[in-house]
Amino acid sequence: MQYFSQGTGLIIWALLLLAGIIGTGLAFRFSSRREWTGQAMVPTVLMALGLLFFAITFDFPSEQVGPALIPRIWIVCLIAICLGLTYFTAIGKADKDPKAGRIGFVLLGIAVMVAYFIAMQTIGYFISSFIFLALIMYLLSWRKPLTLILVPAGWLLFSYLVFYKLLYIQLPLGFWENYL
Amino acid sequence: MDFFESLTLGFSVLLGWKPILIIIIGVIVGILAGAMPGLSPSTAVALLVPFSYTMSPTLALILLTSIYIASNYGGSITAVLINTPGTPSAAVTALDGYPLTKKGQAGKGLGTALVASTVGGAIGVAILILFAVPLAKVALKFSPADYFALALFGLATVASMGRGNTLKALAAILFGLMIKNIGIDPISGVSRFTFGSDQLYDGFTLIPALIGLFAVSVVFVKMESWTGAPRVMEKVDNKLPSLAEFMKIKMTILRSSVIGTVIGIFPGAGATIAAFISYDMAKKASKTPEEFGKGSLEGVAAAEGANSSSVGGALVPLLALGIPGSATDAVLLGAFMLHDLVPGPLLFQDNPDIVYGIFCSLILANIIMLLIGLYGNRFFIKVVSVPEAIMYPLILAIAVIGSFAVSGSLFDVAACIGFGVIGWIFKRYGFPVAPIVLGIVLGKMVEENFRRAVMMDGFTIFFTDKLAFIVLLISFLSFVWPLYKSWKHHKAKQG
Repeated sequence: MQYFSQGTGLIIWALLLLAGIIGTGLAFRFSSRREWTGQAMVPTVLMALGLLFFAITFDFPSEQVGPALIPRIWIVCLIAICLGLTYFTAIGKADKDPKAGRIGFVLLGIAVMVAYFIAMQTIGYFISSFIFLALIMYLLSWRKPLTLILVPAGWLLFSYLVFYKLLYIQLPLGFWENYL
Repeated sequence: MDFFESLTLGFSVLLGWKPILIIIIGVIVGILAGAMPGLSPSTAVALLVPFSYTMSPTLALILLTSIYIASNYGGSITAVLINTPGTPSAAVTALDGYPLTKKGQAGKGLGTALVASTVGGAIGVAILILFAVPLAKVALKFSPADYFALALFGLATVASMGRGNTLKALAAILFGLMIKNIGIDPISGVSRFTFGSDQLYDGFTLIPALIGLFAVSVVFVKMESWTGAPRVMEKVDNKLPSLAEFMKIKMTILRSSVIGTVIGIFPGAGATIAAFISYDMAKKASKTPEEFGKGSLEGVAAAEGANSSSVGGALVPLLALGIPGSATDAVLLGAFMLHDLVPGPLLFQDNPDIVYGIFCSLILANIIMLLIGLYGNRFFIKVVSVPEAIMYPLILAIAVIGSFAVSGSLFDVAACIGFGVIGWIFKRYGFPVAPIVLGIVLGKMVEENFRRAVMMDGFTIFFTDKLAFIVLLISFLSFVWPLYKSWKHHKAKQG
């Protein structure tokens, strides 16, 4: 296990675990248990994460009550429970996956949040927040132009007064920092 | 310092306009947050923690605990008016509250909920003061083995949060515990699971993780089922229950308040379980059980008395032992840490002004909640009617700025978004997120005390230390019992 605890060994181990996750997903997706795919994937990913962390613990100093002891206890318990969950899922005793809602819409929301996070570092908090709020409101079907401007503007004023001026939080200004 | 001197000290903290204003703001924000479907008390407190950074620790905690206590009443507003509980525990209130609205007696439903919440809250605080102070004194003598056992007990009972799926709740706890292992080992100083990232040396910052799991995930969940249909509020009449009607339900309010407080003391039990048990007992004790579910004032009183009083109960283990009894308590623990305070017996010794200030502010918050609730329902209904297309983007904006404000780090914002996604996935597949938070919060306490106990006295300490042994035994039973129950349930279903 020591080989997999760092460097190339760890990368190989991570790739093997990734293959395991994909394999499990495919196995469920193309079997009679396809309606349980999501229910199986959550414990599988948790197990893979546990196994990755378990391998890393072999890089820690080996002591009887050392830094590896508690993580290993949690990981072993997590893997045991996830195995149980996967087993119940595989035999169809678990709840089926929930009906797919607007997952694409959620993913779009997550993508907008990530873009907002990146934009904050380049164009600064204030401009990116304005665009973010207006965009998310628009995505949530809000079409009144005045509100689409007033709500983000109101939030900016609030965050400027409360966080920037009152609480002295240095909000990221992006490239504007060079000009202010 | 004796008890009454301490209480006087607590009230002296509240002298002046600032603490009173903070309590009023906390109560209004708490009622509003509780009333908004999807925003639980824990979400509300997590979102408001960033606003308390520059306040003194006492004022910050007064604000957050006022929000906590008022949000439980707030949950009843939408439960009564639109059959959509603002908080999980208000689901029980809706059983009788909404039928009252259908009968055109919404005012009676809201009035009963308000009075029951106030009385319940007050009884909960009284029991909190009576229990927490002596418990903290006893806890001063606890050894690391005892603390380990108590923290483990807290985690084991949280398994009940799975609501029928103990394995998923346990997986969530262990995931939280595993996440807590990221960073520098508190005892040996070895860096663990940081993958060479400096930002992970202190592990994930608690508040951004909480905001992500509780607030951001809620928005993602809402987006998945987004229809854009506006909420329709019923018109509210102002007719409160008569004095005679209140007298009829006084015993129900008292009984449910005591039940709620006692259940609240047990980690993991929480307001929802308290409300269900209290409702069930009120129905059994009622002279008119057939009215339950059809608009019974007793039903509303039982649910609200119990869920509000559970706040006081849940604060007992948090303040006296440093063990959060509920998800909101875990967020409060994060707020304590943010102000460099550690809840537990030493807090009573070193910062009595803070502890007794919280006690006294909770008493005052209940009175203010009664006054605001009596005259402010129309206002709350107006605010809660804010379109979701405006409310949810604002929640995301608060989440982002709140996460950033903790330490001025964009890494925390990324962590908040990441935890939001994890929370959404967990909720989607029926994994509760509150146990993750409790795992993160209690992880350090469990590990440090376990290793200290073993290093000092060896593994046998858990058998020779009587308190630790008994608590561990109870923890084991509370861990195994839900598993046994679900196995039995499964067998019965098969049979």
